[in-house]
Amino acid sequence: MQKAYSPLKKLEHLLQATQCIYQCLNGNTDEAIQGPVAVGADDFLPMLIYVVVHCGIIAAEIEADYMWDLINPAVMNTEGGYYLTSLNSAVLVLKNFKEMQEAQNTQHESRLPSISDMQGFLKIAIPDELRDSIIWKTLPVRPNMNTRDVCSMIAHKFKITNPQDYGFYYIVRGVETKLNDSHCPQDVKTEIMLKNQDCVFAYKRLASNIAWPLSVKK
Amino acid sequence: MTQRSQPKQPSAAGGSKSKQIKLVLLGESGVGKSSIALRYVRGEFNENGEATIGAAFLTKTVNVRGQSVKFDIWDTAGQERYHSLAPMYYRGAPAAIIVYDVTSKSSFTRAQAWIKELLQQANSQMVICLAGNKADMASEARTVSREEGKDHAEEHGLLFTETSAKTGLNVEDMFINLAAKIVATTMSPGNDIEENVRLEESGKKGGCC
Repeated sequence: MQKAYSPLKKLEHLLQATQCIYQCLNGNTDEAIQGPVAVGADDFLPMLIYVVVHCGIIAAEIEADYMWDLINPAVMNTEGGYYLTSLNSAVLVLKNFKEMQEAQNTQHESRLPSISDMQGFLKIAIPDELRDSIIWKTLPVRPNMNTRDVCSMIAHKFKITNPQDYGFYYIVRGVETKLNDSHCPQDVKTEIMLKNQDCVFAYKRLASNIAWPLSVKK
Repeated sequence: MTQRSQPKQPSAAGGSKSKQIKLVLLGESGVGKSSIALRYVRGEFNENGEATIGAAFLTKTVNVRGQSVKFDIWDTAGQERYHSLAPMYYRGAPAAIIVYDVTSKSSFTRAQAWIKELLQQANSQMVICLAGNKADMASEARTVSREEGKDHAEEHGLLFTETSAKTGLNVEDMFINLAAKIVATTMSPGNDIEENVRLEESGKKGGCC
């Protein structure tokens, strides 16, 4: 898209990219030939945002503005116009991401859903006592993995030589609770989320006393 | 490009030009905006549906009172956090369908907010239809009564209908009514297809300023 000079050429590339997204949804089966997939804008826009983020088009905003301003208004009422509007929306969402997040936090006391909410991932805080900081990692944790599996995975990943001194905790409103070896962290997460509470998982030295940031204590 | 050029018609025929209408679908996420559009475009009457890339943008041509009308259906993301983007979508649209779910009170509240916003922001000529979707589930789980919806629509001078994208109830009628109202209110042929194609061709040729 960026290489093309003509705004209409760029628009064609954008439509091809859109087609790609829809084809991915179809799992590259023959269904793609049969026509539109039953995915409306409710789902398409978030996906487009995701794609824009992950494919790293730095100039997305410039490209969108370029097309927006140069393409004939009559074309704007067509399919190309629609997806250009979507691209523009995606850019706008990303530009205002932080403000939107903050506004949401104050309005509904909630946050944007993230990958770590999904079954299969877990966001874990790993305090780095030497540097007085906390490392946040979102790691793939399958629902059937118990605490012992998770601990050994983290110990291996972070080259911790004395895993017996470490424990796996979950923190709700600033209260730490240690998980037993047999607990499944994903089950715990689901349970707490059902209660509409936010929880944080932490992997830390048993004897250590961590001063958690305010966002965790909330 | 999916747009197909139509053979040029002699304008002497008078009024038989194809009229292009941009139609926006608004409403909370999950009320079935996309399903309505899909049902309408691809339902039983498939012959006029043109190929589009995805379901977020659909087109369909219908005949209303001898005039052919091409709907460009723009679906919008209904999630609250994308609310601020909506003006980009409904800008310049002569028609809108605001969808709510008859089994969800909150979606109706949201629809009322949309009506307010459209009446304030969009052009006054805009033809708006309020649609209570999921009417097939009304007998078991209705929380918004038909009267409530109808009264609200009449108060603001909107079209009203209860639809079901699942069974296809009233979906076809709703679009036809919308088209008829637009044809009746705006007799001046604005963005017709012929003009559209001509402009697009010249745009392709030029490419620079």
